[in-house]
Amino acid sequence: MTREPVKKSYNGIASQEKQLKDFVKSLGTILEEIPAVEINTMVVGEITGENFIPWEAYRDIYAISRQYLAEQEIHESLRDRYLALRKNLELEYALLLSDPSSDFYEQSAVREVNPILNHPNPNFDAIETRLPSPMKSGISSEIIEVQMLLHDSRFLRSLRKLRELKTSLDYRNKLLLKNPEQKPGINDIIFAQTIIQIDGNIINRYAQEIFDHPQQEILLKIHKHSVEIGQKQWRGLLGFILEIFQRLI
Amino acid sequence: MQQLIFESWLEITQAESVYFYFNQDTLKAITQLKSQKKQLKLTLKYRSDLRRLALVTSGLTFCSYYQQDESKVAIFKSVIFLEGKIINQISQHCLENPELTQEIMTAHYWLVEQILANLPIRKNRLNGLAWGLALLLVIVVGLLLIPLNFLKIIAALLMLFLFQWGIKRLLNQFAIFLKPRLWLGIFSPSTKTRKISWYILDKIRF
Repeated sequence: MTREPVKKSYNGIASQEKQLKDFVKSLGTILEEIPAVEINTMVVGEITGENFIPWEAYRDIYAISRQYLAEQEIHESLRDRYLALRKNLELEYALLLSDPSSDFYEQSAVREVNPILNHPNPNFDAIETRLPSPMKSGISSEIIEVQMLLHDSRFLRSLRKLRELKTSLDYRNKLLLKNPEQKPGINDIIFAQTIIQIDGNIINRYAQEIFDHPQQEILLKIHKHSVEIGQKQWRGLLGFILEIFQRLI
Repeated sequence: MQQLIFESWLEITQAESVYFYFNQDTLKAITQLKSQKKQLKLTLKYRSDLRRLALVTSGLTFCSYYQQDESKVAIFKSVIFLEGKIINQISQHCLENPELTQEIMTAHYWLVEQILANLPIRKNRLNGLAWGLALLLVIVVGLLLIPLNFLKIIAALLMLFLFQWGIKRLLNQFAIFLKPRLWLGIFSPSTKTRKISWYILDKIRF
């Protein structure tokens, strides 16, 4: 395959072959990554029905820095949580760069990303970002790199979760700016989490806030119901994917 | 008719989300369908769109809205990630009305269950097709051999068995030729190509 069509596919619609290859590859990664089923339940101030647009999510998280947060007048109490999202994005990319099985593996970059991977609490302010910038104008090599990155299913899955967290933070920020005295309460945090491990162990975690909540009973009932049904539905979805894989391979 | 009503509650976006729109009437209808243990079937177009979403995205998002008067509010959202993570979001507004919340959640989960039940490819029909075609051939040959006697009937039964074996082999060869095309077909950006590919997959097992 010549270089040009590959570039073209990243610039526009991903080709069917690419999607097929991605499907097979991501299925392999997914199967490796299933240590347990994890069901999380949270109360949110506002549910956004917006579609996930990878470019938008990447751009918005990439832009986060102390200066940017100050410029955007993000409430001070939330700034560290916003920065944590940006750090997570950096960490995900560092993992791709250092993973020999990844399309983004760069032997020369492994040393550069080592401080991010090896240190339990790396100082990101002192580390130059390795993430490609989505802010460049025109078709630069960095823009193409972003496009390629946004076609990586592993990176996309992480980006999607970070975007969900950012949406909750944005809403909380909006409320805090309106009323700085407002207590955070139960909103926008995972109040109940159930992990069902492959070996059958079940771990339940609850946020402290749920025990003082006036609607504790209904919230826990909702979570319990979600655990029962959610895992069954996930099995159904995975079963379908595996069926397609088995039939067509 | 039921299918059309079912699909009028749904909206499937190209990105990754499935939206449900409920009101008092639809909630009542769902409660009734659920108690009657009805199973809803989606049209090929919806099945094709949903399967594509399931295959090309990292997870499926289901979001339920409640419509009252002219406004609609998102009440419940569940995101199922393939790698085993599920995130449920409940709107704080709905906690003021726990009964309605419970009703919406039940309807939400029931619809998700119905949708997921529509994803798997339908039953194997390759054997049936081979036997059907073989029988047709034997009938045509049988008509030419009238009047029939015991030996001719035995020969016809033998022919039936041989024909279905041969046809099955031919269909299998055809399947080998078709497989890579179907692989690409279900990932095609063209709705029509995807629909045809899923149709063939629903009809014949490879």
